Amino acid sequence: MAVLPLPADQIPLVLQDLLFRLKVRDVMTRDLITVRRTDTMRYARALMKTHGITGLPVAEQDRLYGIVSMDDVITVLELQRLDDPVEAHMTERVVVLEDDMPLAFGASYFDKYRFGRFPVLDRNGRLCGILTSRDISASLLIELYKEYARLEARVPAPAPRRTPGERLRFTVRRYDFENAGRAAHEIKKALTARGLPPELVRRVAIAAYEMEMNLVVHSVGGVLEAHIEDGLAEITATDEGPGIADVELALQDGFSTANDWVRSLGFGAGMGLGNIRRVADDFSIRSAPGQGTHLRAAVRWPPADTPPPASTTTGAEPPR
Amino acid sequence: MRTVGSLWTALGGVEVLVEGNPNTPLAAGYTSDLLSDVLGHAPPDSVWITVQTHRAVVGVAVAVGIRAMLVAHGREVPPETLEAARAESLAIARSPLNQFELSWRVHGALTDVAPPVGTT
Repeated sequence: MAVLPLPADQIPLVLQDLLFRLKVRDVMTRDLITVRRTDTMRYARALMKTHGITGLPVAEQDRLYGIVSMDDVITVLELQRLDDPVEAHMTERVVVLEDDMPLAFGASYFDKYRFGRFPVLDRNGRLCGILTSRDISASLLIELYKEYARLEARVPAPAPRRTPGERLRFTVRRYDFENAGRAAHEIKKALTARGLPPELVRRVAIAAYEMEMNLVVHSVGGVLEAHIEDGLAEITATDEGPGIADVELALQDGFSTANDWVRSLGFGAGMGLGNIRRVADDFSIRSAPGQGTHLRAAVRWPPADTPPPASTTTGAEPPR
Repeated sequence: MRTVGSLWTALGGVEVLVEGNPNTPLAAGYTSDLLSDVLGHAPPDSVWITVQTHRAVVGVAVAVGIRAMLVAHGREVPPETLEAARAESLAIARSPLNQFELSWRVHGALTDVAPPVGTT
């Protein structure tokens, strides 16, 4: 069995962090089984047997006097002195840990002193727990599970799978703020279900949301469509009016024709078209007064049969 | 890294309206009341400080990848917004403070996560 601590230069950073982040008090056993100085060695032996432990702190009212181990019991058995008081055979010079020491410290003691357990004292010198190597391994395992869960959540989604194309179609009504965002949400779900990286999904979702809100706020109502296939998500918004008089002007950040109450809801900042253009790989807009508007935005990515790109750095998409 | 739950604790004095997933890590924050500004500039995995509470904010948050909303001035949040947030595990909390004060505090809380003690 490997001896703790592992050489610091050989253990992963995650584990080093854990060993320093956790304090002895986070890990130690608090339910103490102790004996008093005047208890007999026979009693100490019985306690060890009952609880399946190999050492007992000798303590009275949280004050530590010594420690008695299975080795001491064996010695006493050989001497046939089982009725001696514990204080006659205990180790008095006990190596102790303090409860606010990093666990790395505690772990190093097991290697340094070769004892199976260390009593833990609080800042007032009172006995508050005991640390065994089992406590350390159990707590490290638990913390590692947590750490792994965290790390796993950050792993980028698997490379896009080759799945058949799909088309989604949503009717969007004017000033229907109650349902606003639903179409964009469905599109986002469809992309996530295909296993696309979160950053790609985010770009499409932003474009879809802005396009949907444009229909709600500015048009008489229209249709939002998504066409998703391997390597491409294309969103189109089509409405019947009223159309945009000056498309170039509408594309400028800050230009808006939204009315006050729409603005009071946070819409109509005059940034929507600019946002769509920024997140999209392809962007086109066709409009004329009285003829409605046709907006198209597409996001592209390498299809599944090309080598996957380097992992993205942004990333935790929590489970839904 | 700061999580949604630990941010609320660190700020103090916030009323959690939708718990969402308190263990979700937060990488950043963003303060704005213009939805398109948020859509265009808010980073993913962030907390959004705003006075907007209309149901549509949930859609914005979900599109951007915002994990938590912090509503300033103790504004009322309509039940349909809370319901939508619950369905999306989007955390929502409310504070009586204004956006300037909240931004300052959130920035402090996000950058003041103590690194592990002592490195070898």
